[in-house]
Amino acid sequence: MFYGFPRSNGSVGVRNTIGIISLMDNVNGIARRIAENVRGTELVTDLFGRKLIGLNHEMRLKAIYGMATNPNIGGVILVTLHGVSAETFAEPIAAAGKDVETVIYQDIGGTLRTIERGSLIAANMVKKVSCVQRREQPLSSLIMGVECGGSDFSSGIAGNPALGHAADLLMEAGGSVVLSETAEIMGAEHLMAERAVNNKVAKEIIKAINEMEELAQQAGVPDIRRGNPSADNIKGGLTTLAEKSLGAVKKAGSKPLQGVIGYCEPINPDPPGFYFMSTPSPACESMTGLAAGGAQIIGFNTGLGQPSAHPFVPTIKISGNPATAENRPDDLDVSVSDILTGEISIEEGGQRIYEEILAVANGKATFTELYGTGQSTISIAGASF
Amino acid sequence: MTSSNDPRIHAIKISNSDNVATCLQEIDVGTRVLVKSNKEDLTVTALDSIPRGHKIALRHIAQGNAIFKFGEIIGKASLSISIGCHVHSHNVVD
Repeated sequence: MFYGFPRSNGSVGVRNTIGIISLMDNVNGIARRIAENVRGTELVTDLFGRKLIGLNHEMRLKAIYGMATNPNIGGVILVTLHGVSAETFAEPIAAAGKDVETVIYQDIGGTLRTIERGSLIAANMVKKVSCVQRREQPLSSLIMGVECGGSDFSSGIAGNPALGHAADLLMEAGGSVVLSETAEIMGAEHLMAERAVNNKVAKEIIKAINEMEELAQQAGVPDIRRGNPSADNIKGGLTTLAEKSLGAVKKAGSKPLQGVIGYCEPINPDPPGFYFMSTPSPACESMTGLAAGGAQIIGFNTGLGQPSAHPFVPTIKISGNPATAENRPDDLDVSVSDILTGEISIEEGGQRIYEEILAVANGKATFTELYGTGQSTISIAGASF
Repeated sequence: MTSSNDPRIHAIKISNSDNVATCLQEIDVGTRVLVKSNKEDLTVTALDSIPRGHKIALRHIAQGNAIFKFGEIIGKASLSISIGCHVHSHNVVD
């Protein structure tokens, strides 16, 4: 069990933040100033937001709805240009039982008045939500996303297997783990399909990969697998694509695959366990999908160092590279670099990461939360893989 | 470069069923390679020089048999591979 914040829909937050979400690029600056004025808020801004069509419009609706209803968010303020966009986004969020307020520039007046109004609303929302207390919660209400970035020699043999062991410990205690980044599992998809609980799920994982390949073809890239493993990978000791992909997949542990989820769609793990979300592989876009899906925590292994995090989801930075552990004491929440010096086993490293996951779920701060360096990025279909 | 009296581990075996380990430093021919595993550590003698990050065979792997890393099949031996040999593109296929 752990101590988390109960929400009216039965979900559980590991944080109790007011989210400030800008719905359009033209009001990002106003949203940022509101968030800067009031402690206890976290900001999500994004590029685009105007005149999006088709798949990209749908993705944005899902992403904003999902982030606003993430269990870590006690209430949300939508900052926007005009009333129509405010209603489109606010209604489903309110229907999901989340406190939502809108700050509409064209209704309020000038920039300064909009910032002032938004700041007062934010302050009152933080006051209200600050009365919610942590209570004992089952680990079955915890969803952890797993990520890696800035991968190197240490990632596949130390950091990822150790994070995978922590993922297994969390799932054995009743929790759920979500792997993402579709292009990264190419070459290991048959192994993922074999791990599926049934044929339907096995087909879904293959379908997710085929769809990503089709998007790449439409964007003019005939074969995104070509050149993988790269000459650099081979020089570094990776022999086959399966070996490269398995190094990435390993961070999600070894439990059966329960389901496949679309980008930014609700994860709702039933039963709890191991899930896959189909996302592009750049970390900010992928973590935005996980945040929108309802993950409350992210375990992020890095070889060379990678500073990104999602503003709504505490992101635990892990490395198995001794040089990175030494050079980046300000970034790493957990080092398992002593795996490579032979002092501890992969399982012992995994146990250390698992303890940090529980501590962060109980309220321990991560470095990126303390620095406020989180970044949300809603993907553009067919633009990155 | 490493010598046989270096006390540090030279390679890491990730899963118990693996028949290869990943070298953590450049290995010279003839080095007694100390391999860390989750069970008990083992040693093999290197028959090839092996670059850092590359794999060393922990068991004899007959031609056509699977290469196991992460407890999973990463490829098949295209040649017979002896204990202590470098395992890479020259003797492994998809």
